[in-house]
Amino acid sequence: MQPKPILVVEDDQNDVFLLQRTFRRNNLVGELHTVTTVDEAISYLTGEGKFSDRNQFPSPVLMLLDLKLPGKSGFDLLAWLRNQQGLCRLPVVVLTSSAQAEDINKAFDLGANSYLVKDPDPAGFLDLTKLLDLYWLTLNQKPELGLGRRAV
Amino acid sequence: MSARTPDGSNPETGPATQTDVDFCALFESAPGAYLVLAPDSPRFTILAVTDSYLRVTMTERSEILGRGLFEVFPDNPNEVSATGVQHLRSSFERVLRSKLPNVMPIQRYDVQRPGSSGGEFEKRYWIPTNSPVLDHNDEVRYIIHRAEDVTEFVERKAGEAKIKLEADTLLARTAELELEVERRSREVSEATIKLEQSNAELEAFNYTVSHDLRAPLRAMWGFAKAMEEDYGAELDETARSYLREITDSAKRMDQLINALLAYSRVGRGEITLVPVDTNKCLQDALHQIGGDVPNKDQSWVDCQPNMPAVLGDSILLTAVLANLISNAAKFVTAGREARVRVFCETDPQNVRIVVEDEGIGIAVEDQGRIFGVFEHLHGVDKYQGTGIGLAIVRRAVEKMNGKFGVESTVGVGSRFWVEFAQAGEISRAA
Repeated sequence: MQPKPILVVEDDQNDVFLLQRTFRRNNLVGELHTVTTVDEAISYLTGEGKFSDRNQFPSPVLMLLDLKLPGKSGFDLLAWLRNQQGLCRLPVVVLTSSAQAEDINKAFDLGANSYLVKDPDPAGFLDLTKLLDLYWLTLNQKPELGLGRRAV
Repeated sequence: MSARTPDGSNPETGPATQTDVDFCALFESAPGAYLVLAPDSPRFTILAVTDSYLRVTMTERSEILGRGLFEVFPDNPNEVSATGVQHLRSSFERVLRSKLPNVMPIQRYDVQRPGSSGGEFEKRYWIPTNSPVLDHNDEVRYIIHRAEDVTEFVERKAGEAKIKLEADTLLARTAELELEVERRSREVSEATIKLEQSNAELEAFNYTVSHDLRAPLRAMWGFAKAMEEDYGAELDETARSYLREITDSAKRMDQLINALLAYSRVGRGEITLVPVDTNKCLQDALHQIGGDVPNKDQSWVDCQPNMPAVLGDSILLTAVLANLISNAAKFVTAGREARVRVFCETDPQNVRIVVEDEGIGIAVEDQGRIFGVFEHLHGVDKYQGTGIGLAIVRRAVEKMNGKFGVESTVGVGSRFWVEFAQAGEISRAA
């Protein structure tokens, strides 16, 4: 079966661990690759530096994006992404703590495809993760991203 | 100026010209207000008077000839500070002494209307001039008193002065007002800045609560669950019960964080008070709490239909009703079914919405505390809740300029009420 790499942009190591554990234990389709800052994410997407090895760091079919990151925020990454030729098509699911209307609205303004709140209840989080995997990686049709060339 | 006493002859031109002139008629018709007075101080007998003078003083010749000047023309008795008589008398005395003319400064000297017209005094201003007529011994034979009426002039000047004073006062007041406006504007700007700062702080608080408090909560809960799943089989019952406690605490913390966020949002921002459909808010509230109530069938709540509209905010009112009704359903004696009634009492100005229950009731000494934040009267184990519902009610009602209160008896039930201004007619959105 075709690999389904997911780029996870998340700096909280506990959240990363629990996400990875959930994918592993439930045999989900997605293959997680994690970066912890916006700059790292941009390097990954454009295949710069250590990320040029596309065998080790494959181009993702989905991005899971936390909003609260050190330095630049998830909003900044979204804004950058939607400006890139080709790469702008990458489906982005915001996965974050906040349920505040301001954050949800801003995420969709900047082009997020979906907004999910991290459920602290592990049972709820499991359901969310399974659904996410099924919907975005199996059901959703993938757009072509081309090579990550900077538009502006 | 001296003149020869007219005895009918003049050495140069002869008697013909002078004696033919009717000096009396001439004098009496002279264009000016003149009085001729005898030098018999202090009486100053009036010897002759021009028609003009009679006119401006509203007197008759027959009335005044032969009488003393000040007897005919006294001061206005209503003018306490009248100086006419005194100054005129002084001027006469000066003329008698110096045998020279004396021009007085503008003098107020009121004249009296004739008795037939009421006899009131009228305000007058004059420039009087008093001139001596000397005889051949250089003694004063007559005093000619000339009075120029300058009343109109004086009053106009006074009017102008008054207008100028008013204009100056107005200018000063305007300058004062401008300063005041400037000061108030500055105050408003400062208040606005403070409000913006306080709103920014509230935003930061909400942000922190939303993100930073939830992260460790997720970790605790997630790892407790992971422990249970991965090592549960190896743990004894005690260890597993510890994990359950961790999980329960995490759940509780999640509830508290959510409640705190809800409470914080109620305080936030300005709301505009508009007419609100009370019945719709009630239905929305019941819908919101539907899942949390043991009896899903909403027939346990008896709602008065067609309640009048109130001035408020529909989201806040819905939250208030949801909190009150869910409390009413929750705080019942174990085993009993909740029975809740929602109705309203009105007076011409206000609408009081009452949520009445047959629950456990609240003791009088506790009725104040329950509206505080995180207040629990009973053990959290007995009645689940965050202890923030009534605090939200309080804040929301205050935001809507309303009133709230409770009447309750332990073991019988409670009536929680909230009161707002009547809204009158509201237009229903399509």
